[in-house]
Amino acid sequence: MGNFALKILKKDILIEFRTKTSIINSLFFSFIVLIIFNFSFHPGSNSIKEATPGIFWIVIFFSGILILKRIFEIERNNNCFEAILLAPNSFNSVYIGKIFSSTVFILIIEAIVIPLWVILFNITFNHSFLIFILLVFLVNVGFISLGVILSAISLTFDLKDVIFSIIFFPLLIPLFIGAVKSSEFIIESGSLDGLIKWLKLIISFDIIFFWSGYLLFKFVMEER
Amino acid sequence: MMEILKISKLQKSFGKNRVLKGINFSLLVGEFLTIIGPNGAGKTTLLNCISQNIKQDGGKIIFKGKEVYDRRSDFKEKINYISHNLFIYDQLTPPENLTFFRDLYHLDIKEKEIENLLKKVELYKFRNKKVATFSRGMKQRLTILRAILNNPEVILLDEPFTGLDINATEILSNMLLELKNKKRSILMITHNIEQAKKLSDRILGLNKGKILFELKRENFDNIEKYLLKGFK
Repeated sequence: MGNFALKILKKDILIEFRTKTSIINSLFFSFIVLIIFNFSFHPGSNSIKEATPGIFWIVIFFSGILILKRIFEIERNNNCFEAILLAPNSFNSVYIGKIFSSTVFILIIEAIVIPLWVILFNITFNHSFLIFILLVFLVNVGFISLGVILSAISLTFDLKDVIFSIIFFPLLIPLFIGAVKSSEFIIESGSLDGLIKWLKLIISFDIIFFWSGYLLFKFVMEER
Repeated sequence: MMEILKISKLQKSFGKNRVLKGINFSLLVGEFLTIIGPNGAGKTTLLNCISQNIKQDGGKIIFKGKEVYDRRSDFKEKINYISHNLFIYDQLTPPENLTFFRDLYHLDIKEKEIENLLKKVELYKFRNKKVATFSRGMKQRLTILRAILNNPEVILLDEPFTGLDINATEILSNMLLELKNKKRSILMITHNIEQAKKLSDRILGLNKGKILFELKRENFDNIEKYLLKGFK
């Protein structure tokens, strides 16, 4: 399964490298939003300090959605998705492959957005920066797991934007709150106990939505 | 000739719409069988069920005497599908496309063999070009290479001549006849009566989810009479 998933990742990277559609769109969006927020607040004010974790996660989630919405669009070209499903591999390996591809693309976005956010908003991490990176990784797992399954469902619907706004955004609320609250603890040197409470929420979200996506993907593909 | 594929009482509905209403037929080893029918007859749904792309509601698909649903992965290794949807990536080059599909089928085919295949369909000199720059006929030739890469015993064809000019149609017809001569079993659905008559050993008429008639090669001259009667 892992080998097949890696083949999908390799192919998706090659196509993205040629088209540059998803990553450029998302980066441009992230850059614009960070600049707008940066100009909206008074430098050094308390309000900007309070808002920075929320701004970061809004940028990551919305630019990530641009990636996730396109992750199956690659396969719409000449109906290639049918060809992938015709091959003698489990449907779940396609889900894992698309998780890999989305993760790589979103990590590229984050690798550029995080330093930009730190510089523009003058962020100092009172807890280790590595804890923040761990948080980003944990949030990515839940966000991408949920996004990939919804993106697959939306393949068969004409109103795919509606699926994202009606289903994806409400389901993301616990993850978003957990991500923002955890970031506050990491940036503002809150207690580790408080941080762990929010990390538990994020890990629970990850487990629930990764396995739901993994188990549901086969049925989504068979009933499409 | 031995039976390679048997379709028995196959049924499929989408909501209240019964698309396939108990289809029965067999495909023999090395046979070229064509199913013709008007739009909405259930032709593509039938191929999608056979290829395991969608699940049938009832009936059986039997491959070499064993029911397919329980041994889906084995069956998929031995079939392939050519459609008017090309199933190739426009942003990749021909060797990149073929390498990707080779890997999907876990095949041990060397780069050199892929080059030879491209030479055979006169695409070798375009090997470094993206498929997006190709004509429909060139894309269809690449699609055929993709479909025979796993050396399938059964090839399913869904309107393969759609959008092809006369020259490309001729090339595709010859490639299909070559596959038939290699004892591949071919099941084609099409609107193209002339191609069906030219290539097939047998033609089945499908309409409203039912097989209406069966014609052997010696009776192909009467096909218009059956079409008028069956599809009105």
